[in-house]
Amino acid sequence: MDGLQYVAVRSLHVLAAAFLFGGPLGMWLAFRTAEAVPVRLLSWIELLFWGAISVIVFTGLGNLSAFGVPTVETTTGAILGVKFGAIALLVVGSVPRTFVVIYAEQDGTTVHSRALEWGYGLTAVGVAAIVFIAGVLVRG
Amino acid sequence: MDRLLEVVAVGTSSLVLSVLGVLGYSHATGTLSRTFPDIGTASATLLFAYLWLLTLVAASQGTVVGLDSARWSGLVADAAMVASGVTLVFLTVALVVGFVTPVTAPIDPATVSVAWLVGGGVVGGGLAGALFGVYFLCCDRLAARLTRGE
Repeated sequence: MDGLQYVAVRSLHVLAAAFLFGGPLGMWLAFRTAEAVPVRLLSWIELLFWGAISVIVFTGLGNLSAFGVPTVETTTGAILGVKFGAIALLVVGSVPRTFVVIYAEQDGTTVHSRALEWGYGLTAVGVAAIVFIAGVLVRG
Repeated sequence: MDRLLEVVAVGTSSLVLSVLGVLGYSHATGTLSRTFPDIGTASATLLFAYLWLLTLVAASQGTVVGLDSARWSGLVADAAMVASGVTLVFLTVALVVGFVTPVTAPIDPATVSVAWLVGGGVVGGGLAGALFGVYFLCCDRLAARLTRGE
């Protein structure tokens, strides 16, 4: 992989991870502190969230291609398997949250939802756990 | 905006879960570390972007949010058929690209092995599509209960 491609792939990967953590954390704080949150803001956050999920997976594939894939018998290989599972869990848990936002779009312009507060809080915790696993995977 | 969000969420989550499923299986069986470095970043990115486009187009063909209960079984059947079609189209293009690019082909380009891969992929894609259909219906029911108490 040449230098420019390396920098582009790694930068996109880190930026996507930053948004996946910061976006849901910001929405959790909004639900904790505000009376109601604009549904349009939530819709944009959700659209960007799914875009970032896709970006982080395909730049992750680029990283695997560049740095090599550890075999499953090694500790690093086992951690990579755990990371795959953690990302899958994050995606599985995120679809219901997005559907709640779609229902909120149909019902009004602002929303105050305990389910969304919990959903965004758990998403931020899940992403933080994946970042921790990624750190262990890179640094050992 | 709600329709766009549904298409993006359903298409992208299906794509990411499918890719992670294939990666996890090939990692567990040891084939990932042997074949993946040959594919290259540019090819992997193009194939991923192509599959993303296919899943978004497929997701835009139906709706699951707020679907009437009488149409639930139809949705699962449609999801299975669409996923089979997406798998067939994707595998055909991926195999053609794989055979014409100057890298080691991941499988033997013989008729029988290609037929097994495509046939198995289409059946597996159909089963995965049906599972996705059931999963999205469960997500919809959960979201409806959380927002409207339905």
